[in-house]
This record gives sequence, structure tokens and C-alpha cells, in this order.
Amino acid sequence: MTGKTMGKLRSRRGASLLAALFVFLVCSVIGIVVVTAATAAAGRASKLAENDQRYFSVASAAELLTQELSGKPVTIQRVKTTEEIVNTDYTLEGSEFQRGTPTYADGYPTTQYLTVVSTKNSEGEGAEWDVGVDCYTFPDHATLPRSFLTELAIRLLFGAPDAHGEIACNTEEAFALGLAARGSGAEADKGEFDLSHSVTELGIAEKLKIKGSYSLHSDGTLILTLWNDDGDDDIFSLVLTMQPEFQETESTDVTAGLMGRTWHNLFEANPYYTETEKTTTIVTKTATVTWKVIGIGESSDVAPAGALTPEGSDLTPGGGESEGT
Amino acid sequence: MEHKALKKLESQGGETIAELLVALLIAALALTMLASMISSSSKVILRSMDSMEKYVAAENQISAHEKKSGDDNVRELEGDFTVTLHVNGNGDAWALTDDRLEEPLKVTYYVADAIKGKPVVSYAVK
Repeated sequence: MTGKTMGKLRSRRGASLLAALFVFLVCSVIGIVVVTAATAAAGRASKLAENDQRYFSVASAAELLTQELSGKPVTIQRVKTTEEIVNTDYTLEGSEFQRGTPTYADGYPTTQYLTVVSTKNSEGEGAEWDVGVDCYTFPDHATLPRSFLTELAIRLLFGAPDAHGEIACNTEEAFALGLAARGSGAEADKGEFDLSHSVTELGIAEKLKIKGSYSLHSDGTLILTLWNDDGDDDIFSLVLTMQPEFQETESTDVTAGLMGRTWHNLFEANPYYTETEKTTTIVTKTATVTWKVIGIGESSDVAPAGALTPEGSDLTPGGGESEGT
Repeated sequence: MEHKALKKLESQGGETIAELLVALLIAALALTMLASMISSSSKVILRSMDSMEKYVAAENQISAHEKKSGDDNVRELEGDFTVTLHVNGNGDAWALTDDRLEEPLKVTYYVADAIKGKPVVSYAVK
């Protein structure tokens, strides 16, 4: 090294060209660093807009669902009508007719169930849908209009559809079923939904597409998970936890009346008559479910175990599968 | 060592004029290039700062679902735009509640155009 320095000092050749090239190199490096830093700063703003769009898509949807679903009562009325037609023979014994044992005219009482779905609020406004004695299936029923909140209330009261897609809503069991009867250990009823927009401006509807899942638990807790469906791998999700307020009232109305009297053996030694009485018992059970949003959280922080999360996405902040807590 | 350095300084040996001129040209070119790079970078940063300021102002408006009058960075899209719900992959549109069966869910969109080519949109029920 010392030898080389000495050689250089001894050299009679100039180094201006070398020095100029060195200055050029230094200037190029500094320039590239400055330009790269400036471009990166501008690029970050562009990336920020993409991230914010994901947030706004999901947050707007969460706000919309909260506004539309929270605090809206859904009333489901179940009516059980039992008709008993009873025949009683009165036979002449001495100078008085004695009452005999009553018997059912058809051998048994007839029972009819009716389920009325209603969302009438306290002011008596809103729709009312009479399902009738023929129950319907989910989701292919044609008799009911498609309302998300009403469907959830029906599923909460009558349970999820069976393997044939049918809900047992016109049986004695369904009539007796209160919220507590579902049992706390019952598996959550799950499904998926998406929100789409009709806005026509280029690209906006695509940006705002949202996918969601619902998870309805046996205690009535409803978990809605929302995430962006804009085709991007980066997922932002929000979880809405909704708690139900559940009220059930029951009223019974009994009407009884004589339908007719028929005489037998009137001109013979043993005359008797038959009285036919009809008793109609109408039991009405009204269940009102009002879900209220009690928490909105990012990722699966507030979701209970089993809540659906986007397929293949990692929503937990620390990584790993989204299992809930 | 010191003696030799002193000698070198006193030396009359040098370079040709051509060599010197080329070296000066290269150095001038390098300095000009650096100056223009710094200048254009500062322009990019200033423009970026300006658009960020506009963006943050616009973002505040769209997160509050409002458009300040006279602010061109936020547009309000109002029309018969509706939001529809589809459940379990079924193609049919569902209402959120029975109240919305006859009155579809209409929304207003708030579009922030502060960052070119990347409009940010939020929406709220009308």
C-alpha cells in the first residue's frame, strides 16, 4: 500500500480525468437516491388511497348495516287454533234428562297452526306477511318476500333448515319453542351474503363490493363479518356483534257454543237427544326480536369461535388462521 | 514522505489541455445532472405534499359523508343508486328489512379525486 502511494506521488501523470469520473459517480449516486426517495414518497400516497378505499368500502357497509338493522324489531306471531266438536247424549231417566259422557265428533280435536311474520313497529306501521298453515322452505320459499332480518328472526325461532331445506314452523314443537329452548350448545347457523351497488360511474361499483358472513348463535347473538371483495389480495375486515332483545307474549282466547240439538227415538219409550258443542281455543304467541349492535371491531378480535371469515385470508393481526377468541 | 509530497507539489509535470477540458466537462455534466435531479425531486415532493394535503382534506369530508361547498376535490354522486344484498350465493336481491321491501335502499356516494387515477369513495344511506 505504502509502495503504491509512493508510486503515485512519484508519478508525473495527471489525475484530472479520474477525479472527474469520481465526481460524476458521486453525483449520480446522490441524484438517484434523491429521485428514488421522492418517487417513493409520491408512490406511498397512491398506495394510501388504495388502503383507504378498502377501509371506506368496509366501513361504509358496516355503517349501513348498523343503521338499517340495529334496533329494528321483527315480530313473529304464531297462532295455534284447536277446534273441539263434542257430542253429548242426554237420556230420559224418570222425568229428567241425564247428561251422558261427551265424545269427540271426529274422534279427536283438530289443530291448525298458523305463522304470521310481521315487522310492525310500535306505531303499527310496517309489513305483515301471513305464511299460512303451509310452511315454507329456506331459501326457496316463494310466499315470503326476501328480507334478511326477518329470515334471521325466523331461523332464530325455528332453527336452521333441515337437509331438505325445510323449516319446521308449523308443528307443536315449533309453537312451543322459545329462545331458551334452542339450547346454549346448539351449533351456530351460518351463511354468506354480498352487497353490490348499482352506481354506474366507471369502477366505483367494483371498488365497493363487499362480502360478508353471518353467524347466528343459540343465544341469539348475531355476528356479521364484512370484508372487501374488490379482487385485491389485501383484506380489510370488520366484525359487527349484535345482541338480541327478546320478548315473547302469549294470549289464549276460548269460545264455546252450542251448534245444535238432535232428537232421537222421540216417539218411543227411550227418547234422548244429542247436543253438539264446539269449543275453539286460539293461542297466540308473539315473539319480538330486536338486534342491537354492541360492538364493531377490526378483524376477528370480537368474533366468537366459529364465526365465518374470508376463505384463505389471514385476518388476525399477529398472523395465523382466524379462529376468533 | 513529507519531503516527497512537497516535491510533488513543486513539480512542473502536468496534463494536456484536452485532458483537463474533458475532465471539466464531465464534472460540469455531473453537477448539472445532480442539480436537475434535486430540483425535479423537490418539485415531485412539493406536488406530493400538496396532493396529500388536498387528499387529507377530502378524506375528512368523505369519512363524515359530506361535501363542503366550493371544494372540487369531493364529488357527491346522487341518483337512484341502490345497494342490494344477495344471500348464500342466491342471485335474487334481498331487502335488509321488511321496511325496505317497497322502498329500496338508496345511497349517496362521496368521491374524493385528490389523487389522480385513484378516486376514493364512501357512501351513506340517503
